[in-house]
Amino acid sequence: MLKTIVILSVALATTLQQGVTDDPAVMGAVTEQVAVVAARPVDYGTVFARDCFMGDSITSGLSYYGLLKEEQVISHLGFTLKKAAGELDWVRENQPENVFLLFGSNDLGPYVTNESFISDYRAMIAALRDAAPEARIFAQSVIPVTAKEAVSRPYLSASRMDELNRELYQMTLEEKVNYLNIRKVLQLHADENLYEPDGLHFRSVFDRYWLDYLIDETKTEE
Amino acid sequence: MRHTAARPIILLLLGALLILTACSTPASPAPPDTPVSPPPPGEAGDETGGAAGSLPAGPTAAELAALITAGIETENWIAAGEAELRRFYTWEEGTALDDAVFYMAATNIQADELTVLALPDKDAALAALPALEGRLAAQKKNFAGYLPEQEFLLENAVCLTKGRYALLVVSAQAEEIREAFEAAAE
Repeated sequence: MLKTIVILSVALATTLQQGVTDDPAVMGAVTEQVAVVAARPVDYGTVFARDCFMGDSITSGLSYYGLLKEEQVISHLGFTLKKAAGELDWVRENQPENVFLLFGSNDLGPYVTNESFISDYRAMIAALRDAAPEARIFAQSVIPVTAKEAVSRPYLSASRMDELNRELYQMTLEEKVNYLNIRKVLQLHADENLYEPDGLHFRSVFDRYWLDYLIDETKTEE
Repeated sequence: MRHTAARPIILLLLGALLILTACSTPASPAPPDTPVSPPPPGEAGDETGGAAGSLPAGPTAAELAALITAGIETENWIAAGEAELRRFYTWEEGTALDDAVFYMAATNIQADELTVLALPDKDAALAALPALEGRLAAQKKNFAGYLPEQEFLLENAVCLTKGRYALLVVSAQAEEIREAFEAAAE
């Protein structure tokens, strides 16, 4: 089963790579329209059994919808990097193989600078390395709100996120951790409205597409 | 002669009428308020069952849920099963959940929820109440300081038992559901 997933994943990843420019940090880096794919019949709990996901309400959906176990999803509504750095007991006790981080929506506010956010990210990575030295760490790009929602939350607009994600990507190079541009998920399914009506959160189907993307990007045969 | 010829036709018509009457007569439907007793806990699906007198009285959880949500806006709910009920609630060991209804919020950023439990007796319903209260407390903590509209719903949630039934509802129409529950749960 996993082998089949990997084969499909490699095929899709190849498709994606064909359209990537020199700037992998932002949405605009993908220049070719890629094939729209449906969520796959995957047992995500098995595929990500040895992994940990940390983040805010977007990450919370992974356990809420029953895709992953509660304990491996360390998340709360309104969760931030600073708060998460203090909740690493499960990581320390279970030593996950991979840790996927998705933060930003609550960390960023009208008066929060990119430098401050990146500084918090570095502190989080340091705390994770202390808790699970062997874990592969993945920093995932911050996802913008919809253009409509950006009117009231300009600090989460697509242009701000492009700028921020470039800095986040640079930081991952310096810290020697991995970067995942999960905004590609939105482009893969551009024909669907994946956002909730609030323009900030995502419908449940996004979570499956997101995990499919992570399989493509991280679950290759050793 | 005419009288003799008509006799078979009359008999035929009478026979047909009898057949039609038998086919169209409903099989004594239960009145709407007649309770349908579920099998005793632990014997769900056992066709041999116990004696009829040992069955708990009153509607099943599904019947009660249908009654109390009639006319209620439920688009924020999705039907969930026992697995979700066990995932989101912390139950005392041995709590029977085979006669239960659980609707969870359609997304994790909504607090809307409906749980209706039909338990063997009043004591069992009271014993299940802490699990419902615990879920409500956890959700209040979950949404605290994040989504004020959801916090409001949680503050005005209804959590109670009546007879052998227990109810937790988080909804803009929680009060209407409470009134219907108290009227229907006997």
